[in-house]
Amino acid sequence: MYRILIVEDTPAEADALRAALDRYGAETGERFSVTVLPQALDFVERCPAADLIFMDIEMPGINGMEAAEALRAYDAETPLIFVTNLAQYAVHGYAVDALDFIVKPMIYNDFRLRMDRAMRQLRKNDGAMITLPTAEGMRVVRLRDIIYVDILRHDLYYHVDSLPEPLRLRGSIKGAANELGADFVRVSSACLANMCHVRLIRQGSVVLSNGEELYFSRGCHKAALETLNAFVGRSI
Amino acid sequence: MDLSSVLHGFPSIAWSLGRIIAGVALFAAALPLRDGARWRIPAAILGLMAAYVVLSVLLLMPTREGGLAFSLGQLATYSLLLISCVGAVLAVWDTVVWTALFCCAAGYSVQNLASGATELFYVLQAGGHPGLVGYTSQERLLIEITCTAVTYAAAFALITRPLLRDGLSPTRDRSMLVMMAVVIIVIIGFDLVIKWLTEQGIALGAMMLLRLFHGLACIFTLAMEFELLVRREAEAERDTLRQVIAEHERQYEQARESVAAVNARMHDIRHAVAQLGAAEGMGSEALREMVREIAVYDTTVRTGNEALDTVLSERRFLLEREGVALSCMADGAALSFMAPADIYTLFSAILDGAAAAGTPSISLVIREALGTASIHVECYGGTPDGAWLETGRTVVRRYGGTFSTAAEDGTLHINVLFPAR
Repeated sequence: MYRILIVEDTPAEADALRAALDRYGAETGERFSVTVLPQALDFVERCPAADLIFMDIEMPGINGMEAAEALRAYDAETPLIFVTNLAQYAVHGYAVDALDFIVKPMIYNDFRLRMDRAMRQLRKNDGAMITLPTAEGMRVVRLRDIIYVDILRHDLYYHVDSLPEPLRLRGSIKGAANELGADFVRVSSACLANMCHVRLIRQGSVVLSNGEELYFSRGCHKAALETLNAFVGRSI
Repeated sequence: MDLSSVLHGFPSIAWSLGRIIAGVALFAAALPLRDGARWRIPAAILGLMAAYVVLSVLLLMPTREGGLAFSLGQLATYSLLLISCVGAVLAVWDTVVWTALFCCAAGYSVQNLASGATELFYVLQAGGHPGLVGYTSQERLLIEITCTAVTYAAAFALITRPLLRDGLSPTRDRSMLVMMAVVIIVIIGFDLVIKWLTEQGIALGAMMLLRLFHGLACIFTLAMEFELLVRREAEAERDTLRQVIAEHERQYEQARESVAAVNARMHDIRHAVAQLGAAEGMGSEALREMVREIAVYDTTVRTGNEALDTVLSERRFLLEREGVALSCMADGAALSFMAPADIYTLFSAILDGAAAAGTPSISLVIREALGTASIHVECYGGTPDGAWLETGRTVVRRYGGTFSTAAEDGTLHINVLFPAR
């Protein structure tokens, strides 16, 4: 179940969003618990935990954009969607890394488009684990902690955040790619990088969160950039 | 020629084939490899070797070495091998048959040039005598490898490097490509005739002239192919793009002026309403409603990039008239490395393409992320429209960016990424 927070001062608008979420839940089988805060000030003072936030921009006192700035000071990840009367107000939403915005009065298809994108982000943020049968025994690691995987003579090396040495196990890159899922991009025939750990994308390489630079092989270059393109564009 | 000589000549078959494969690879290297290249490449090489052996057995075995029938057999073998090479290129590289034919024909030209150069070297060294006077087989191999390496290195520097830089796009002029393949076969025939004449014994001067003509024919064919496929295509693309950009530059100027005029008018109206408010008392609900209505019709988008503001303001107005809602969250500064006319062209193409796809709603996000400039467009209920998007793709390619589209669950995604510079 995902926790949805609606920060909206007009009860009718909050109800409309809640109804849209109910419909989306019924259509996709997702379950949501919805909380409504009528004031941005409450949001800033209480910092309530949520998986996805819908934020009205025009509110009395602290407006939605200011509240979003406050949110980003302590939470860089929770997906945020603005709700606004005027599209012009949300043009600078990228500055608080908002996913997108919805213009009132809300049309369900517009809402669904944004929700699909938000759900992709939410699934990305969850803490999926993977069990790795290493030579020293089974190790369970979070997928998001794996920085990259490379192979040397049939031995896969999982470079995991916070582990000083990579985890070594037998296997193939193809098998690892199938197991690791869509967040991993094939940089070369011998290497998979976790796109969540990419900090810089260059024409011929990616720089990862641990400072290492991985270079695209010629065979993988085009496909890797296309995958990264979809990832940055939040299409996957 | 009998089977044992075919088998005995296996190293020579492997060497000839190796030269042809290397020649073809000089050109095909510019193409993207197919998935599973690791096993496709050896499979293609083995397939070609098998084809070469089978062709030699069928076409050369019944003939006598050195005779005219043998030369004709060789010509037929090389012609059919050319077709096999096209199949091999298609198996290894992700391309169309016409581009594969180009690579093979051009590869053959380079191989023939190397072969001609080697022959000329031998005959000059032998003082005009036919055959391989005074060379051991090791020396002969060394000479062949050296001549081949020098020719291929020159071809790599002059042709492959520019191809790798610019990419190889399929040509539209297909009949000329077939023509070129025929020319290559004629050149091979020419080479075989010179070899035959040399063995029969002709004057050194005449042989040198023939070799010179043969070499020139190879270079001319290569130059023609290169011109045909790479330069002419690139120029045609550049011309089309130049026209599109010139047209968009004109449109951009017009749009900029109209958007500025609308904004000035809007400013006047707001000013007039404010004055009215001062005179009538701003507390009037009707007046507040009017201010609000005016703001709704204010189509100005301010992203920090004038060209982006212009195209978004203009297109939003046009799209709204067609009942398409455009929502955009845009950091215009992220695109500051692009020329204004290119920004106008790119977003006109993307938004017109999205509108043509029949979507009621377009969401556009432009931002800087991971050192890149990222553009993301989603159209609910849309399907990609090739022509519009091709213009966008061309502009993006010019800036070294990646342009991709995907339709998923009835939503069209357009993603553009300009890697960090």
